[in-house]
Amino acid sequence: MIENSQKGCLFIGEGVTVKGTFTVPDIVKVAGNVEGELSAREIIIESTGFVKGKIESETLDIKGRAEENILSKKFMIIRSTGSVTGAVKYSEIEVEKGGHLHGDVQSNT
Amino acid sequence: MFGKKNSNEDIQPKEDFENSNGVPGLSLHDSKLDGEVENPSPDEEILGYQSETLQSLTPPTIVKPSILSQGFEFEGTIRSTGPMIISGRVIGKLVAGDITVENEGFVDGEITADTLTVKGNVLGDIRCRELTVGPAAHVDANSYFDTIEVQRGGKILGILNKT
Repeated sequence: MIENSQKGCLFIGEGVTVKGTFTVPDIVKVAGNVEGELSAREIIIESTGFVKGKIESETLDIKGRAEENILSKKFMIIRSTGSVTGAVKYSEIEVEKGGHLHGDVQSNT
Repeated sequence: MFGKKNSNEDIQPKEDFENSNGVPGLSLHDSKLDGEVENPSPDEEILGYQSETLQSLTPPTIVKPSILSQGFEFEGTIRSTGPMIISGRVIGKLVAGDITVENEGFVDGEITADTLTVKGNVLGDIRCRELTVGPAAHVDANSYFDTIEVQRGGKILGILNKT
């Protein structure tokens, strides 16, 4: 999807560390490290990816690690390799077997 | 005729009375019963035998689940080493090896289990090794678990702690 149209997308490669506030209109794919605020329509955290800070997205796909503050307005999935720690707010959630979910979890609805 | 009849009737009751008055018969029965009770050794042997067989059956492999059916409401503590299926309502404490809270099931209280599968509603506290939350489940609890699985649509709220 990112390959087809990169308009409004952000890709953070493996080994890359970025800090700050990011507002992305479409998709964010994280294979590296992000520290700070991340807001997008769709966020994909790859198995090597790590996000620490505030995450806000409609859909979230976590194969890596996410910490602190997570808000998913539509659907979030924590894959078997994924790990989520902190305050989580979701409207629909799925945790695959092996996935970690730890913290204060609240539903939007 | 009447006299004869009466005499017959008179005689019969007399016989009955004699029988009923033959309390010795009853007392004999009593004495027999007493005798049986007074010989506790066979009873004890039977009990001992039963408890032995039960003990030999109880070890880990309990296959039959304990089922708390729909419409059944329970308040208090339930303990089992085997599997349990909850389709009714439980308010209180639940301790078992393998607990399944069915779609109609509702538990308000404390659940301690090795594996816990929730398809219905759970409130309170959860302590388990393996927690599975079904697609129609609603879990609002302070949960301690080793592994978690939430199927799409399942609601899980509260403080989740990984042990």
